[in-house]
Amino acid sequence: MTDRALGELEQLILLAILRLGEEAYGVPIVEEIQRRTGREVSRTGVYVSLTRLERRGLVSSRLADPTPERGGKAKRYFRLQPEAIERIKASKAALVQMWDGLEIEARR
Amino acid sequence: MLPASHRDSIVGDLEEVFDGRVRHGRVRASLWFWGQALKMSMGFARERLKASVLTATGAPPAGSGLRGLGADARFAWRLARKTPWMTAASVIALGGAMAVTIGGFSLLWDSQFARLPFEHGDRFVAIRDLELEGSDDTPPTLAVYREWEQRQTSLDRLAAAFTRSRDVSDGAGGSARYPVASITPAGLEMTGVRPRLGRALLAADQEPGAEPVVVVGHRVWRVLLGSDPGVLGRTLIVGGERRTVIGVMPEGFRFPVSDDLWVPLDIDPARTGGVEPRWLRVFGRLADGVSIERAEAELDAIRAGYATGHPESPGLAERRTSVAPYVKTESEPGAEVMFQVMFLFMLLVLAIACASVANLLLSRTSSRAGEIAVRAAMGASRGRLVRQLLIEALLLTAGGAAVGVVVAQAGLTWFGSNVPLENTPFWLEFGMNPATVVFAVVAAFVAALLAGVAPALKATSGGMQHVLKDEQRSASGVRFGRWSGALTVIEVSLSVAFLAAAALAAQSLLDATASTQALPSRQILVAEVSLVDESTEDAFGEVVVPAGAIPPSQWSTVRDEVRAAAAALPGVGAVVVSNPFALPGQQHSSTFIELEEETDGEPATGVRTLLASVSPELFDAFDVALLAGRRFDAGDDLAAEPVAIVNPPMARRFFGDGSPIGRRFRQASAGEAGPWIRIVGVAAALQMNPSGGDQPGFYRPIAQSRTSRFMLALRVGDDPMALASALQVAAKGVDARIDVSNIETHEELAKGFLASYRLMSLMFAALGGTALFLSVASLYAVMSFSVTRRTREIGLRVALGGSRQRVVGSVLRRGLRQIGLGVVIGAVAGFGLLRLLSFIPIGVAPGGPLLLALAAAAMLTAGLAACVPPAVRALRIQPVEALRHD
Repeated sequence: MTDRALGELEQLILLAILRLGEEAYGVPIVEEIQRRTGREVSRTGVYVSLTRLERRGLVSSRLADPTPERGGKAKRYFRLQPEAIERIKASKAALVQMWDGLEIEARR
Repeated sequence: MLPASHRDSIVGDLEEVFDGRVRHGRVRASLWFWGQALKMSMGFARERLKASVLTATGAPPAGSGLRGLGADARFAWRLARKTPWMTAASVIALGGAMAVTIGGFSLLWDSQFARLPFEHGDRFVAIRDLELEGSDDTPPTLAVYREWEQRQTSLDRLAAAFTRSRDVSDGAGGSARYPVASITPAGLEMTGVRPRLGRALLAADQEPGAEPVVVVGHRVWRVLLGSDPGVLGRTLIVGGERRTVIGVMPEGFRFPVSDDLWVPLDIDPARTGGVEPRWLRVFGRLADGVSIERAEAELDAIRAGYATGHPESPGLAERRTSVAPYVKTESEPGAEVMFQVMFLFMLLVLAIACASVANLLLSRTSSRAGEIAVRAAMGASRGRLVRQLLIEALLLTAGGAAVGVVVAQAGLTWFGSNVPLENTPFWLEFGMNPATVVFAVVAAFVAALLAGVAPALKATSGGMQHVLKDEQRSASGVRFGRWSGALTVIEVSLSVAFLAAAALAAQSLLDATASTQALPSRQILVAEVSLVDESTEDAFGEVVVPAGAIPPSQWSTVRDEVRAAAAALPGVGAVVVSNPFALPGQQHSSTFIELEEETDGEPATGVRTLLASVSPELFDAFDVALLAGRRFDAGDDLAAEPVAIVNPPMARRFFGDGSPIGRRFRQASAGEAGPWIRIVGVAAALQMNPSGGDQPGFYRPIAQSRTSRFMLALRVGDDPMALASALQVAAKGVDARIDVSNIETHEELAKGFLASYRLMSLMFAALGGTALFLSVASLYAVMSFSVTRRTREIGLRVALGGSRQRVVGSVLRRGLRQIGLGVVIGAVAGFGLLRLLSFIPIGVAPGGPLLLALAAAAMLTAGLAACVPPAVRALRIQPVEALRHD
């Protein structure tokens, strides 16, 4: 099951977690993807994917101490597992290989 | 539905985003929040289903994603057309239930969360004082209002208004009665609505010596002033005062609640003379970024400070100030609860409808057990099968929701056009609002889940192999007995309970109509008379009135003169003067009493006793016989001993077989110091509440009370309304300051009070009828399914020599057991409901047990009727058919 290729949203999420570092929990992850890609993503999709990635062992999460904000509910921070790094590298490499020699980008 | 380990953090994330969104409006943010929560739940539910299928089959579900959806929907559509009766029954049942629920939701939403159509409408708040004890609403005083105006900072606008119903005439013969708001200029200004013609009120209009002015609403301009474009500068006579028209508001503007004209409100203590308006409404607009809680804390502190500094103001310290969203204040706290209870009932009906459809789906699904098994055998995953069945349910509930929206819209429009404009706040729209549409869509989905999940899970549970095997032998499909049985029992019991309530309400209506018809209602003209607009009790309990009004010392004299003037009109017989709400057929006010000595009757403590202050002519005008003792006479005035005439229920209940004449009682609210009231007579029963129920009550002579507002009832010939204007003139002839309003026949007056019964009986009849329809449909579906399923068995038993009667009996027994159980449970629930209804303060006719029996009998008959066709079919089964059934 773990060898299933990463979906696009999953790649975006993993990259967002990587970018956010210590600050990677639900709200900023969604915002980071929206800010960088400039498009709306489904909040539900992100959260469902996060639990799925966690189940597949690609990310791990920890619960921070609750703060008085947000109704006293704790944030859950995510971080990548080594395998996830391998997988996004592989995804990127695959894409780069496929793009090699194509010039669509230049015309845009 | 969210995974337990992540639930808190996800909800926390949503709350964090919610906090950011609240700035753009709390309602919208809340909608967003719940929308997200719903999406999340559904997203995770789907994920979980997918995962379980994955673990079960080791392969991703075939046709997952959107591709298979179209095919599923098409299949569901074909299936719906193939079983038209079942489809029609489901859509009608759901449509009826949805219409009720959607309509109720729309009203509830408007009354609680409607957005005011003004700039920053969401920041409008109403400011009220609540009594510390009992939390009753009480109007803020003008003095405290002035204090708020000077000190508060949390509102950027603060205004006050009060509304009176006034005769408005154009000075050229045209005259009508309209609600007139006396309002501080800021009240009109804060809405940001510009007049269509002329100008709104200005602070200068409040100044002493300023010209009296009036701003008129669109309706008045159109109806009374003939849409005159040159209306500015014309003179209107508003409640006897001449005022110059300075502006016309645009159509639909009825701020603060449902007002048609606006005049400046004078809040200067020097001129009001300490007289409080009957009900001051204070409202304002929160300053940007200020919360309701902060505004409430500030205003409450200012009121408390004023109360400490002015101990002579009675009751000011025993209150707290409350700030609430503007639209919430129109429904009284009690009404809100009543509304919510009604809405719960509606949801309950929707739930029954879902249960019914679930039942129908169960029986349809089970007859398709073979098809499902084949699909499973050919590789369809359980998730896929469940989805297929859920989509079938969704198709039905979506149809139901569509029917529901159309019916609800029609119903609301009808309702809206039948409610007088004066009684509806301007923000009630009587139609679909966006929230209602969202609600309808959500309701359709939830209903599909409720109705579809049980059949779907049931049909696809366990290995499919045995079904396939079963199907080959064509014996039984999947076993659904317990589920559908429980659903049927619930439906039957709710039908019984609702039908009983409907019958009770209808009975109250019939009783009430009958008691009104027994009175000479059509020959009686009634009118409301008001001697002064406002009066206030000061710190010493003395009544003060504004300068120029009729002083309290003259009230009884003027009252007698008005009565005499009315009696002098041609063709008038007896003329009754009574307190407001003290004429037969009106809901009288009630009190608790205590008796001076012990009696043979039951203790009076805790029994609500009705009371009315009337003039002695009441008994002549309404043809009421005196059963014992004497009438009131001229000697029964304020100086004499307080006396009362009691009705037969009061005599019977509190005094048993002994005579009540000469005994004394007092009102418990008056306490130890309250005067004893001597009973001098017993009069035949008159309706002291609309239903004419058997409630104890007593009459007091109106000469022993002091009031500036009273009712007149004139016994006339056949056409009482012909005297209406003569009565106006006669009263004004006594004193031009007297206001006469609501002139109508007694029949009309009583009818108004019956409207609530009509509505209640209609509502329960609709609920009961829907529940009955649903349970009959369910019973029929289940029974006929069971006969089909057992065709082979029945045929075999007949072939082997079993008696048909016994065979059919075994088929019917189950249905009968369900009906029986449902009726018993329903009777118990219905008894509770009847008890609950009799707590509603308006009288409800007694006779619960009989009505319950009737409801149960109706249900039994209908239930049996539903069982007959399947039973007949079972009787006709030939052994040969059984063999062919494969």
